[in-house]
Amino acid sequence: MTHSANRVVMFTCASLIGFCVSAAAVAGQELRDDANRSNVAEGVTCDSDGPCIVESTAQPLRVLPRSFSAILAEPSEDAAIRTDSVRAFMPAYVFDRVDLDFSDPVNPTGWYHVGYSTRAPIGWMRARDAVEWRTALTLAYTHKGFGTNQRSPVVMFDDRERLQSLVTSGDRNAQAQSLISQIRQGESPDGVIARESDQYLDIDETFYLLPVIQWEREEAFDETSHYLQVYAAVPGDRSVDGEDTLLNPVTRARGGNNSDGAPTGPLQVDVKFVLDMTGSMQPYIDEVTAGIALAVQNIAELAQGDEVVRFGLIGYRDNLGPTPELEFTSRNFTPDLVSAGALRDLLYNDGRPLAAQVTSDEWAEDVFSGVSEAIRTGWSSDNSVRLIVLLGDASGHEPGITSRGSKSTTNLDSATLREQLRAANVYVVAMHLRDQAAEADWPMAAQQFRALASNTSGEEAAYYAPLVSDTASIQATIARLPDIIEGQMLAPAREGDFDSLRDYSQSDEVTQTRLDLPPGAETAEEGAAAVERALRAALVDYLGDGAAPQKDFIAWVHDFDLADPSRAALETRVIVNRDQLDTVLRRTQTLQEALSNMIYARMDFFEQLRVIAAQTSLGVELNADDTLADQEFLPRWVDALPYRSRVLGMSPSMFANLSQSQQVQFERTLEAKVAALEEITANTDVWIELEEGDPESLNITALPLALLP
Amino acid sequence: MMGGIREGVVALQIKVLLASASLILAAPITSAQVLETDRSGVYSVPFDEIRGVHTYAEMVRSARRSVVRINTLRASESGSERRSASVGNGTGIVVDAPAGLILTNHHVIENADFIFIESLEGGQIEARLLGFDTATDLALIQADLPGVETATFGDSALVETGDLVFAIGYPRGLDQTLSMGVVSGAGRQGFRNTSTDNIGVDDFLQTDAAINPGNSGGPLVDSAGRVIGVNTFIISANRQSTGLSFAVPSRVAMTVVQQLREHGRMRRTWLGIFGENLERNSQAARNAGVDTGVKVTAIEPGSPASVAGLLAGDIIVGAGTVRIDGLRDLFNFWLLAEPERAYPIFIRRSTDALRLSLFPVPIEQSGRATAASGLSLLGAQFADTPVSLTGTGPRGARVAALEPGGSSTRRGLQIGDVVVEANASPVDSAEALKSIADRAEGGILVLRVRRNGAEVVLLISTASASARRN
Repeated sequence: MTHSANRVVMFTCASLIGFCVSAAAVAGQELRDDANRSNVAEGVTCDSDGPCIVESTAQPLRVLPRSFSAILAEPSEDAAIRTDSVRAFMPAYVFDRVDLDFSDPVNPTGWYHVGYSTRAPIGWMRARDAVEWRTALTLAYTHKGFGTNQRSPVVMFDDRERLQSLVTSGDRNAQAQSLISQIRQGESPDGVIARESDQYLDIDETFYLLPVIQWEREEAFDETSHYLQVYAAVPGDRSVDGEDTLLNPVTRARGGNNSDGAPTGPLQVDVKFVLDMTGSMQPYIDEVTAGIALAVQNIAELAQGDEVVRFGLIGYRDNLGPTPELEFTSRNFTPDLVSAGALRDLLYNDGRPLAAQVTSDEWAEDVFSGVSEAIRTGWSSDNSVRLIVLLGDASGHEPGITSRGSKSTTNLDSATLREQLRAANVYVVAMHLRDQAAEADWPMAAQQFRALASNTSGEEAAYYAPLVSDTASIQATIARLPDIIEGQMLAPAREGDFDSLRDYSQSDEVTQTRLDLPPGAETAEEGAAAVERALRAALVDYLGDGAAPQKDFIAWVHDFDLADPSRAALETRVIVNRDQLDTVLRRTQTLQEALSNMIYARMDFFEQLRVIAAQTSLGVELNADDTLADQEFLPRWVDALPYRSRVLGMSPSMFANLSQSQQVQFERTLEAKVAALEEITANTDVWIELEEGDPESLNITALPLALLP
Repeated sequence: MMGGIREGVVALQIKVLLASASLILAAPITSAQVLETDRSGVYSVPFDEIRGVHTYAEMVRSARRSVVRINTLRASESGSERRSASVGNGTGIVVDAPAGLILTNHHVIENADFIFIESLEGGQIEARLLGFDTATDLALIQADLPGVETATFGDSALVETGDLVFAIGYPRGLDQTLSMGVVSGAGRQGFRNTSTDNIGVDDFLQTDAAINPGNSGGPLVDSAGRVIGVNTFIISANRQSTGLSFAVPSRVAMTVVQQLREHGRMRRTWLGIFGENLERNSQAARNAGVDTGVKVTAIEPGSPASVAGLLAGDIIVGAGTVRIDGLRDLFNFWLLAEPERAYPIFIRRSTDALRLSLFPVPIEQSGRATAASGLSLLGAQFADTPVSLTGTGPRGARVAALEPGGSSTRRGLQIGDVVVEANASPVDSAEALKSIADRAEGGILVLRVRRNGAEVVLLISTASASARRN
């Protein structure tokens, strides 16, 4: 490697970025050498069923897009650009790798087929625009200390050998002091790319990513010392001449060429509940709303990747003419669609019953006003996948059906409404709550509800009819909603089976194009502005609001103070989402509880593991003699992390042979870790929503490795 | 008795201690945050390469700075003149340097009119008594003494016979003195505290490290420099160290410190358990598959034990973080149990093994009929379902009582219902339900409830009832 041409003495600092960087790193491609060498092809299996899998962790392979990367329709430089609003550092799944060639590390060639959910790819990225991130590891700076007792700043090197030679040298302290002194005097020592800034950022307060590409253990001293190769963004103004960004008119024009019509973005799913709120519902409205609230939670969890689910609530009663005390004929409780949690609040209604306190003069109600209101009122976007769930215990007023004239306020019948539903691309699930007091109304209600729920020609209507006398039956029926939605709507949509969706909607255009332009952006110019906002949002805590878009570089660091080998300078953390943390927490709790029962209740440890795992539906099967690590008691991604667990290195039968105080030691340690993990789970401040509208389960945090059992 | 180490204590006439006519018990509970358990020890005898000697000087250096001398004075009057006379000395452990909190034995300061503290660097300052507990012979005093460090406490439950230990103190008025030995035994019982109260936590670490009068209240330190005990008495006929020294374990000491600091006294509790030692080889022992424990002979109606679901005939084998081999362990548990806190009780019932959840109430409520020792939440009293350790029965929060007109009553919750899930998170205890309720978005809970073998879902708001424990 040659450094002379681009080595610049001057260091520039970005106060909020967490480190300073030499101009050499900004100006020269050569410093990427090691990074690209690390993008080796081995150890990854790709097939057509989903993302490529990293064999060592059994986790999907992800890449971190570099700043201002593009996603193309085909693995070709001439292909149309699907999006160049790719967020740097926003992990993407890899579904295929084509023609990868790292022989020229400065300019690697080849392609990654990438997507933001595990369901399907959305396009191709150039190898030079992406960094493989197999570990999900990131680094956090430790607190620097105060006064004269501060640790040295982290220094970033262009290659590991140079760093290792310093770390393992006999006069490490003196060399390190000299190096740091040179840097502080504005010099640029050989091989140094950057240094940590003087400003300290607490990752738990200000989230930032310093992703680890690979690591090596330093065996010369102790097992906890590592060399880590990191990928970092740095200040710069590449966006000014932004090659391949929407700020570039040529690129903008190419972006407009994406006209294949295929849905490429994440699904937006809108679910509106149209609920009978008449007096006849009063006896069971609480059970119905509780059932809906539970179903809503489960529906929200159906969302994968960056899919978004939003909810609405429309109530209907009856014509106010004869019975003004009903207060409304139909009411939209959600002018803007809301999250699952917000809908739960609406359903609770401050503890007041949603059903009317009075009843109208006949069993039939103005069902169609509620459905009509749901069709007409707002949806998330023109392209959202739409569902109405109708729940009522009586038929609707048909136009002109009674001798006294119709009480219908819409003058619509079920067939007409069905056509409106088709035109608006709305799928309907109808739940007819059958009250035996109104048995005479059942045939009419069934006919209407079935008609509204005849989504797909030739197929059975999505019609369900539990008896209201059985609370469990009502709630069990409502509880089927997530499966219905998944099976009949989401799965086909994710598979790209838009013919299926058209079948029910009879619509010519059902597309998802959020990745082509951000939602609401009608023009390329608006798109560019939105992209800029999105990019800053992705990096805001890292760079500071208002910072210009950044470039990036790759470097090697040591996780201990170079001048003081006993002092940690970087803490390794693993990026986990709530689901992953929940798995770790529950299994740690299981271990701790089994140990506690062994010590204080004198139970057999292995049996306790099995019993607790079964009681808590942990889904693990264990044998007594293999280590917990070998049995993948924690997921394989945990096992692949660079830490050694004394607990997981033991087999269940080994625990029984420990002395009681050793058992207590393990139990106490696990208890402390459970407490810490529970605290993280409950602390909403440390959870990051990568994309607005993401379900909570996909929020991420940087979990210290030390908290793993 | 002023000053000096307590001596001549003889293990005689151990009595089963009864309070309020019921056997009332507790665990040496200390919080996980207080005791440091996960720190690596030293793997070989430290060697000072510069001086070429094996040494523990480095390990105990910090510990030594957290040990202070205590001198006590007593006021006397001679005619019209008031005088002070030195009556003894002992040792103290700095448990919070910024706050000036120092732990020592109660018997060191019990008859003093004036207490003076002196650090390793010298200079005396007067201290004031914050609180004491005769049952553990511990006292907490306060003095703003510069130049001292907070001691690091280790977990005495992790100590094993054979561990290397050091005693630090001011024996016989000498300057700070270090002596070394091993742990001769842990969990020693059979020593009744000679304090005036007729109760005492009977749980000591025994060491052969030399301890003499003046060491009282000083630390017993492990080889990592962590305090694992408070040196309290020796067995000796002539006030000389004979290698039979005893220390209050750190788990006990830290529990007492916490209570004295927060309340100025130890708040004792009412459990409502009557029991007897399990007879080895008895039918009950054979059925239960254990040979030690406490057999419950009676439960006071309305007591916390009753609410927890404990029954006569149950065999208690564990409580909190204490293994229960007999009544003495159960006494120790009770003496250190804090009110308004949940403790697991591990029992055998016939051939089944169960874990119950016990909420002790202040002893002042002893004998009052009450069912209010569950977790009050959502207008209902919740208790943990007894957890079968053999795998039968659901886990959850059981509805023990309902407040008339409360939100739970209004929304259809019934006594005996078991909440197994809240807002899609599993509920395996009343505490878990409280935790979910505390962070429920908008204060709304979707509860999945087991009722008579069926399952129902309820929607309840936390807004109308804030969580509290009675």
